[in-house]
Amino acid sequence: MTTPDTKNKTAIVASLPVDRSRPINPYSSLTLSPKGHHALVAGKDTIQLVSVGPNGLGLLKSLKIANHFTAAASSSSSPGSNETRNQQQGYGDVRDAFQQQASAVTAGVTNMNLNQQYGNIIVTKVAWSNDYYCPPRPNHLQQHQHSQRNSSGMGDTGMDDSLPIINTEMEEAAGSNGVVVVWRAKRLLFSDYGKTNATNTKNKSGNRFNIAGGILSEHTRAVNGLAWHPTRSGLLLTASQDATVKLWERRAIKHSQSDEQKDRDLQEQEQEQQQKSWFSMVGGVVGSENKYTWRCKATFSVGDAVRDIRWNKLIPDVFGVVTASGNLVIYNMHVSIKALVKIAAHTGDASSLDFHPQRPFIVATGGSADRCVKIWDLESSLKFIVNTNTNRNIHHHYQNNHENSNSTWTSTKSNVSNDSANSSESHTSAAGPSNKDITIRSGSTASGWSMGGRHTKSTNSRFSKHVLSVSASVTQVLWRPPSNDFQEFMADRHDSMLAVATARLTSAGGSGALSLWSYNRPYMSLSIVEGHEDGAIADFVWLKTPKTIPKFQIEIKQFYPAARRASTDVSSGSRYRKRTESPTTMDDSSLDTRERTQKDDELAGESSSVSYIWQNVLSVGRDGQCIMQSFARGERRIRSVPSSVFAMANLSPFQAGYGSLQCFSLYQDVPNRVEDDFMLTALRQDKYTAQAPGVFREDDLQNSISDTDKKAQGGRKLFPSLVPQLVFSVVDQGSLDADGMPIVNDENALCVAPEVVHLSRFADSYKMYPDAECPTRVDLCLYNSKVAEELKCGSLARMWKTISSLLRGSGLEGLPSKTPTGPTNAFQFVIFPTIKSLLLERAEAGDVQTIVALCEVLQVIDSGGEQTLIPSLSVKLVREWYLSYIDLLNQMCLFSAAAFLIKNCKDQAVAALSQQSTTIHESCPRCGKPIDPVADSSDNGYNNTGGIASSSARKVCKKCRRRVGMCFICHEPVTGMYVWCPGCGHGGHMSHAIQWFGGPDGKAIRTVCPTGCGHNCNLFSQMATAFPRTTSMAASAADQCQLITN
Amino acid sequence: MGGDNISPIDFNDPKIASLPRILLMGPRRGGKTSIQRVVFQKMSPHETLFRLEATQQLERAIVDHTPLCRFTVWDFPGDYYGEDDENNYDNDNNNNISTGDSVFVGDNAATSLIFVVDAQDEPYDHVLQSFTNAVTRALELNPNIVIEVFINKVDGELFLSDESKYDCRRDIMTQVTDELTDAGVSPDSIHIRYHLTSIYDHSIYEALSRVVQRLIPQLPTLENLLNVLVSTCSMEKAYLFDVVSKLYISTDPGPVDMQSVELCSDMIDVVLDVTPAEDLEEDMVDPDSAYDNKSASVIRLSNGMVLYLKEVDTMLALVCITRAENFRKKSLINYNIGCLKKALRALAQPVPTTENGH
Repeated sequence: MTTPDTKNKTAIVASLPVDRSRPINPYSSLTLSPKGHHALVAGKDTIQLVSVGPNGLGLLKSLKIANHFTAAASSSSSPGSNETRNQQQGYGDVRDAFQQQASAVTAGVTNMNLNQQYGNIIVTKVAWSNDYYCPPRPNHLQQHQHSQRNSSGMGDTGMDDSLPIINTEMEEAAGSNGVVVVWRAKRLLFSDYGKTNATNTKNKSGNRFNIAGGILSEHTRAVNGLAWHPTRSGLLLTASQDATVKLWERRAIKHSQSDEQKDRDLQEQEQEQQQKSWFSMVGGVVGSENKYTWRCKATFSVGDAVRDIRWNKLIPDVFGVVTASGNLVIYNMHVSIKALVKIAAHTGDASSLDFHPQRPFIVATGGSADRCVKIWDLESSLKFIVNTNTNRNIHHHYQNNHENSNSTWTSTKSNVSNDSANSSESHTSAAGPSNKDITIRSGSTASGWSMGGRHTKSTNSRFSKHVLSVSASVTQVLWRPPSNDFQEFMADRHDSMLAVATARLTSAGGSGALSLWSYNRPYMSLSIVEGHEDGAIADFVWLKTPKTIPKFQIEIKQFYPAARRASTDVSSGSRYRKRTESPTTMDDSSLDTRERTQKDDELAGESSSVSYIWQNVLSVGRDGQCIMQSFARGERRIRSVPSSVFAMANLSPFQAGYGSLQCFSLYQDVPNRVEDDFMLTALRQDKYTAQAPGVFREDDLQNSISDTDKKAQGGRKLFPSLVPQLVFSVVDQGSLDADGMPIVNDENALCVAPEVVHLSRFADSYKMYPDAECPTRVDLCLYNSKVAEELKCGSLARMWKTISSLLRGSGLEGLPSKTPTGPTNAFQFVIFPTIKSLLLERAEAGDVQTIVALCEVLQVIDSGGEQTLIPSLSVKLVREWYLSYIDLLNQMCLFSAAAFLIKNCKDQAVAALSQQSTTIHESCPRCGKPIDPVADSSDNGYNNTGGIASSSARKVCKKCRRRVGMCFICHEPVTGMYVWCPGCGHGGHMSHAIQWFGGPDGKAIRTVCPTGCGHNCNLFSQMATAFPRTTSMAASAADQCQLITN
Repeated sequence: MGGDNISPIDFNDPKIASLPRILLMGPRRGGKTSIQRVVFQKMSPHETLFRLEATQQLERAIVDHTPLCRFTVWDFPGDYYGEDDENNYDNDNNNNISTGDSVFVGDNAATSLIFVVDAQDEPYDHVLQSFTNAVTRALELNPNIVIEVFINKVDGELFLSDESKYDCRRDIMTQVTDELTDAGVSPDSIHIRYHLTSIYDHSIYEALSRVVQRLIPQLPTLENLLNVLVSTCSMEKAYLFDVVSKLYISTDPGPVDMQSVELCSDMIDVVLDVTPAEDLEEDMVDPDSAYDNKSASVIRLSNGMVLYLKEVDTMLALVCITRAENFRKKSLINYNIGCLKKALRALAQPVPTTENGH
């Protein structure tokens, strides 16, 4: 296991043995017992109890749910509706493809019979409630419950038939699905083990199939989600496909105080009595063994099929759901008519949500259709719930609770004070929510709950805080549980982490992966485990690994305090002895004892501050596997992120370093030693986890690291800094030395694409039109040749030289016209094909700069602009070259060069470029009416430069008869160059503006508007940036300025 | 169009009047009639640009291809929101439009109000105002009415990116919430579903499927049956498609993936294209023929999946997506589908028989 980077299977810590000879049984759901030592996995129509312990996973018991319902059905067989009967006849015998296959192998025949007889029951979700009562007695009141969505078989009718006792008005629910069944975990799961157990035999004497504690069947469609209230027992939320969420409440039944009560301990009896004193009784009696009845307390109509449901563990009585239409809806348990928050979170299906375990307002939602996980901060809309003005401070409450219940469960990080059983049981719905106390750590506000009447408008605010691009459809999201392991040096760094289960394709299967994400790294997961072979991951849970060394285990086995045993559970003594006799028997007592032992380990550890390391996940998938995987061993792609290199060509004359090409290497320090995993992913494999008592042994990776490694680090752990640091190093500055090679600081630097760098320099220095210095075109060519030579482009220099000699030899100024007049010489006949092939060759090479320079120097386009002087060279082709060159110049912000070229180009199409998008629409500053340029007939378009400005000078607003277009300094009409401040709209002559504000020569004079409007125009800075900083351009700009000011 | 060719349907017939209703309302040129034509009468989406004129009066059509999926579509003229103007009440009555508020009250049948908004026609405030008016009135009269908003025409260059679509939806949701609050209705008491639709892609089918599913009283049972089928046969997903309209009327409760729906609906196209048209007509008349044996189709995808289509009822197709390795025992799957078929037949029995419209 020293190579955690290798794929797939290595991440599996333990797995439930799968009988390969038998067909796979896809799992649908998974839940942990409150202590985390057992897990309940639900398959198609079976539930399996799995032990989670140091020895890995073990299948303890497998229950066919159908059994339980058939018995109930046979006891009372009232006919269903027509529909139901039809279904029974028509559909009761759907055959399981795999069971038929299995019939050859094992007792498949009976299975098939069962299946045919009992119909099709599909368990969609299981949820094991918290242990609300006295923690020293594990498992006593744990309830496991269980929803199923299928009714078309007899098994389902069985369920329905037992219902009328509870509520006779539910007849029409018969034949529909969405039934939730509640069991007491101990009875259902552990009763059949110990044959000598007094309690269980008593149970068996009754109707053993009637042990379901409650059958909740008000949903008309499949139940997709279940959630037990985190702190109060007997409150259950069910979320269904039928667009409703129902809140169920367990109530005691009066006459259920039967002899069975004796089995219960004293404490619970008190609670029972207390309950009776608090609850009004409803008349329903489910069976003699049931002390409770379930009542639907509230129905929340969500509006669309509900996909997942969770309680907020930090804000009491608040829960959230996500719907099939992608909405995230947050409700208060007591207000069913109105949602606290409703957000369109995802497009398409949203598959799951999870509240952050430590921050009350953070919630993560996973979208299966849009393939991302979004993290929302709902503080703005939920904070009114958490009222800070309460004097009902709760820390002492927490203390009391701690003492009362002997609970050692809490840690310093646990935020919700575990309500004592008393307060939660005595809590009635009518009492309102204000007797619920919580502590919320973040923000250190001890707070009570108030049902704020304030309406939060969730409409305008967008809450999305982070979006993780998972790029696979998300099936489940779970935040990583908090750990207190990191206090010593910094805040909990893995509170940003969440595990995401994905399926490659939502409905079309594909194997799923579990990945660990941090919202600080939204594009790459921290760790991926891909143990499931194919089929999406149906459900998963985090498993904790306590860090302490299990030295207490032995002690407790030997010196288990008898007094305590007696005080907690009367019957446990005998069971305990039984365990010692046959420790291998998987019976009820051994389970009990094991839980107790392990729990006591935790208790003992608690005093020495147990911290848990959350790095294992237990997952079930549609491939019929139930495996436990460790993120610490998963594939970590982030480790292998190479440092990247990118180049940035600075071709903008507006910026310093103009004309340079810079290569950057980017290196982000990703810690990649094994020890660093701990910081990177908050996953760790070290000697603590290796010896952890709980749950799974890890290979001690740290020990396997060579000692040299440790020495190199000086024996201490190095933690990366909080903020990942980016290291830039410039490879190539792009400046040229005397040899024309780039100057770099680093000798390892590369010389990248000098042509690109040179393009702007060429554009700056080429001369294309005769002037005083170069009166003839031959001179122009020689000059350009010199330019190319300076820039170390020898071939270009030679080309220019050749052309110059061609021209000189022909004795002509420019290209000869097509119909030569006067004396001709041989060069004139050579020059056309030479130039043409030269142009085409350069075009082949993509060198539009040279082409355009050549064309301009030689005036290839004749003065009419209709055709080229070179025969059989299409003017369209030449135009293309021009346009692409101008485009190139504009891209490089060489606007002046581009404009110069456009202005001087003979081709009409190119020359018209400067006239595009030059219309300025003006409106009268007084009355605001637009001044119609068409109305001014004297101005025929925009051919003359400054035509608009001059036209506006002649303009008079038709509405108010005022002249418009006056200079803000001289109050004369503006002709010529015109500047205006886009802020206040005032403007005037360019020259006046330069005088007022200061100009490109570098000095700012004033910044405020000369009209006295008070606007801080600061036109100087705009003008300064409007003029390029290159020397040549700065010079020309200065000339311009000179011209203007003079 | 198609409805006109056949003998006129008496919509006052109690059998028909008791069918679930889909009311299409919305501003002019919002695309109500286009939606109806494209989905239910198979008009090409491009034809709707020029072949449709403004709807002047209420047009009703019955969708009755399969016994499990029967409803009527009420296509209202643009900007008609069930106002009950005293003046033209009689006028309307003469035009045989059941007017005013009564449109919202179906005869014991589920009613769904689809409000079609043109997403390309900003601003929406005026439209949404009338929408809220209609909604409040409809809810007063029929508290059980289902309200859906189709944000239509999310295509073209205005909506190239998904983000722009979501922004549009968010805008509309916000505005509706504000309007409802202003109108004194708590926005939380009404569940309005919003769908981004375009007749040029599959989104309109998806949206209408979801609408239609709400109108089917047997939906829980259907869902259930499919769920059993899917789990017993280890399928990935199963859809029940109305072959004619290509709407899926039910699926198993797992999450619905747009691509797979599209794939299935394309598969139906393939099957329909391959099957000679006369056969279908014949089968529609005589559902007891050996139709189901004929109309089955298997398409193996390159990613190891198998698409399996099987006719399970009159114009009702079951399309399953399953893994290739789970598809080996085809006869067993066929047997199970046979069970499903029987159940579907039985399920359709209590409802009055189907062949009214044909």
